[in-house]
Amino acid sequence: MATLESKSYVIGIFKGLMITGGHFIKNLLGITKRPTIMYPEQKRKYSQKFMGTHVLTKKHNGEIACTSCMLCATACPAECIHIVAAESPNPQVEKYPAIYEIDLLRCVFCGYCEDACPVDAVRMGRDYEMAELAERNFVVGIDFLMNRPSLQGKNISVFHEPKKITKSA
Amino acid sequence: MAKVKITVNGKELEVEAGKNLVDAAEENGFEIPHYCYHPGLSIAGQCRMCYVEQEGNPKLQVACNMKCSDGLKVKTDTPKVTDAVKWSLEFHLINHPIDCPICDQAGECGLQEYYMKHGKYKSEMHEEKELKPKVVDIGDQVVLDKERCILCSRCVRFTQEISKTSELGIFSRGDRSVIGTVNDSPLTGNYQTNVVDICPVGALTSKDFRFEQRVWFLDETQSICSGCSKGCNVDVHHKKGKHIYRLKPRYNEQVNSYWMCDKGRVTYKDSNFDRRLSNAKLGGVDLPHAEAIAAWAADLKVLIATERTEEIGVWITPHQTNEELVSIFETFATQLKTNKFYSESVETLVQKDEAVDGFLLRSDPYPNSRGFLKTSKEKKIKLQSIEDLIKALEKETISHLVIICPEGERQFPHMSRISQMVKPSQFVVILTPQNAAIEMFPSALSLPTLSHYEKAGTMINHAEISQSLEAGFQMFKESRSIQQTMKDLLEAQAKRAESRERMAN
Amino acid sequence: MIKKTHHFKNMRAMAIQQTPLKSEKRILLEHEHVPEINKIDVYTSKGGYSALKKVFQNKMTPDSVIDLMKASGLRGRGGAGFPTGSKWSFVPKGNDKPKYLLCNADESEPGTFKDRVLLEKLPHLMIEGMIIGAYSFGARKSYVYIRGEYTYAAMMVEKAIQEAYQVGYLGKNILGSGFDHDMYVHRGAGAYICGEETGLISSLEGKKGWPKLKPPFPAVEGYLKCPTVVNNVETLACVPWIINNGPEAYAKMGTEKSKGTKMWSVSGDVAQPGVYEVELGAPFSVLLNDCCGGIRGGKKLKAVIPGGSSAPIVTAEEAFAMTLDYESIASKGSMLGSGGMIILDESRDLVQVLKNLSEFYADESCGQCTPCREGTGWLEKILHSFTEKQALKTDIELLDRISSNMLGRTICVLADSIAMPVQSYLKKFPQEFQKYLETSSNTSRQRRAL
Repeated sequence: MATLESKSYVIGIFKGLMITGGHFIKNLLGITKRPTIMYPEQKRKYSQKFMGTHVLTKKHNGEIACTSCMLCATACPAECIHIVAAESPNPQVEKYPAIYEIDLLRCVFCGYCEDACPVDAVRMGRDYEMAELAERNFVVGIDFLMNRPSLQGKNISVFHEPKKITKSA
Repeated sequence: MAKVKITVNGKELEVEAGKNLVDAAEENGFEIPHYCYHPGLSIAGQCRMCYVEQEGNPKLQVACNMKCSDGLKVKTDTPKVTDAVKWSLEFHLINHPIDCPICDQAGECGLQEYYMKHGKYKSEMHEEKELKPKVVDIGDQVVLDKERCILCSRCVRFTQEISKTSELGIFSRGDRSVIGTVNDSPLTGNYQTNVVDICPVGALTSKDFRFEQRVWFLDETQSICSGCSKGCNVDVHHKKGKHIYRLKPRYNEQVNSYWMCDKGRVTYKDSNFDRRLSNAKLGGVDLPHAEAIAAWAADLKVLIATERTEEIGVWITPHQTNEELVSIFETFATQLKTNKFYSESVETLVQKDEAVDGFLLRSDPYPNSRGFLKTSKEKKIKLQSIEDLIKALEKETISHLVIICPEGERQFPHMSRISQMVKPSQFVVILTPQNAAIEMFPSALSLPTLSHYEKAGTMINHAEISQSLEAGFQMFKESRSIQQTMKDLLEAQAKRAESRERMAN
Repeated sequence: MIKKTHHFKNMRAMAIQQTPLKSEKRILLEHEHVPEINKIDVYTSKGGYSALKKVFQNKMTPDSVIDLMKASGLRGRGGAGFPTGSKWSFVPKGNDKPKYLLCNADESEPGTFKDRVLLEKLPHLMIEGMIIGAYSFGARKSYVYIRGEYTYAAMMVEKAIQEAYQVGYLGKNILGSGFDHDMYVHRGAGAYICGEETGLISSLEGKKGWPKLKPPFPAVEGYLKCPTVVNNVETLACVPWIINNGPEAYAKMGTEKSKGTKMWSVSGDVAQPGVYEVELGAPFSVLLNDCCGGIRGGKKLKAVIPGGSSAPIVTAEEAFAMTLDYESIASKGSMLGSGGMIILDESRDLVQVLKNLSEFYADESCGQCTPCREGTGWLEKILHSFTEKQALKTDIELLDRISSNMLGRTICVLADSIAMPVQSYLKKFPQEFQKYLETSSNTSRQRRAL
């Protein structure tokens, strides 16, 4: 036996519209707190423990802090770090990374590289906006990891300069 | 050798009389830590790590200066010994820079190894360390770091006793002592890099390997050096078979002892990825291996059909293993019935073969000359000279030339001569692991083979010792061993013959 | 030949007390005051070379010479005190290899200068002893290894050797005995470690003066891998007297185990420092008060280093209770050593003394064995931090631990030479170290660079 309510769909539609409209008005007038934010004008605050795009730190003189020991590459479970070591042009420094690349698509953001680093040279950054158009753009090098604009003045190694190493003449 | 009974930690062992206690204990599973002791060198007794407690002697003794004699009773695990070893290691470390992150030795360093086993862990050294020069260039092979040096004097003894060049010495006294060369003159000779191998720490590092790779990424494959007829036993250090980083000598008392020469050490470069032919090519265009084999078989078909197989010429060198040579001879001499085999005059090389510098390096540049002569004799192959080959090409008695390339550039002058002689009507097949070889024959069919350090097989060295190579990795998917290539060729040949028969029917 | 440079002009032999004191017993220095005793004719007129003549003219066999030495109970005067007769008898007989006698005149132990007197004034006494010693075990060649700084002494010895050659005591067929012997002077280059038996051998071979691993011992495989005996100057100088007067007369002097006399070089806070020869077994007070005229300036004795700087220190009470012989000094935890006695009065700061010593040993460590090479430097740095008022409370214990881990762990005894003093200073004078700790401004673990 069909009731009037089930026969006439108008009531059902009206009920449904009431729910939608109710939320619309609540959200419009800000009566309840909205989970949605106005990205990208508005940005969500992440925890300080958030692990985003890596940062390569600098020494006080602006040189890269990394000594190219490859412990990060050793610890990396995703094998996404590629380092080529070379003799540093600075006579005070022995070894430095000529190439330091991270494949952000392979990276699982576990933070093991940060833990493994003996000289505080690699840190997990807070950046999370990683959209790119091509796959190759996700393999990022020293310039991006150390000098991207968002790092301005933030990536100085907390450690003292490693002990002075002088090459003989 | 007479056997004697010694007792180590209460366990009775039977060892050779007069054997060094460090070695005897190690063979039986008792590790005695040591730095300065090296079985290939004289005994210095300087590092003071190999303490043992000898029964009836209140003072700790150094094991490296003890020869096994009947009734010798020592203990290596008493608290007195372990404490002394701990402190000795601490003395080694108090002035060591501990710059493991930038040290190439990290991962195979004696200090790291013993620190984990016998370390004091809580250092009491709060003083400033002695600073010494770092990154000192001592010759074209070796870099010295005086700070990392633990002054075990192994390198000094090596240059005095083995290479007899005596360039290295220990200068100054006390904790200012440093290893160095007189007037900063460089190391000389062909055996410099051995000092890097015997250095238990990162004081001496190889320029060739410097900063290239961390050792814990490296895998090892046993092989034989391809540099000369000595056939030094080596370990090939490579990363997942994709990149070879270095060769290290492997102990073989009968051949090379603990050493190898610098010339042999760089032979891996010819086997490395950057010099390799990765794909089969025809006229400079890549093609799959099967298609290349088919193209080769097609040309052979014509020769077989017209019964001109004696027009096949094969140029070989003693760089191949015995097994490879056998398969080459069987394919071309037995199956295809040609008798045109050309090579350098291996007889002369063998006759003139001598130790160039009185130690390891020999004048015969091929690792398997004896095996080459032996197999060719067994298979009753008559070998002709390269001049004969050139004449034959000129007279066009050869229309199908198979070049089985050695590694290295030794044959390049001959090859460029031959490449000028080859006429478009003559079909050239090159079997090579190397890229550079095929550039001279732009229109040839080239097939990638395995490089020397990827091969399995046997080779016979100058002293008629047959040694085996181990296949540990394959760098390129498309490369095949020569045996496999020969097999593929014969199969393709058989298939073609079959289909021809079917068509005829 | 030694080159004469300008600073040689004012060189003179070291002066010692001209007339023998009552408490002295001079057998080596008997004719020391005779003018020009370094010349062979003066020396011969005073009975010199009579022992040599006795040996060769009486046709004494080499073995009988060794037996005489054994009977006399003569012990090595260089420091270790090993019986000389036994040492000579250890040289293997019937060996084709040449044998060598080396005279250790590399007297570089701080506080020791007794050999210098013998070398400068009585070189012939030593040469005579050397020829007899060489004869006893068949050495055809001997070397006098003289400390690099002893320029004048080297000149004197070289002159004396030339004189001996002229007279025929050296060279071919000595005194018609058929025994050939050649003697050479070799000057060191100023390294303390070359005074160590095997270090001396290495240095003489033209190598870096590194002590050699034992066994093999020098008596079997020494200089140029041939049997070698190394003796101290004073030991060899005793030989002629024993031959002349018989071993019984020598053995009559001294105590039961320490026979004969000993030359003491006394320095430090005494009124008359110098070289004195007294009978072994004489009380310490005899040497201090009768010979040296007591402590300078009427101060009180604080401590004594009896046998050169490497000997452990003894306190004043212990010193007065001991007699001057091997056993009595050993019973006080020290050693007779080379007989270089250093007297320290109450005004001396023993931490400074020890720091000074540690600097010497850190500088002189040859760098061969790790515990010594690194340990001496480490001790020096810690003792520096004491005097710089930067020491930590744990440092006293640390000094003790470092030194105990150096002791007996090395090829030669240089590590022991600083480890033993450090331990004895810490044990016998802990209050001196505490004093520095109280004023130390360092409380953190990290120490600043010194």
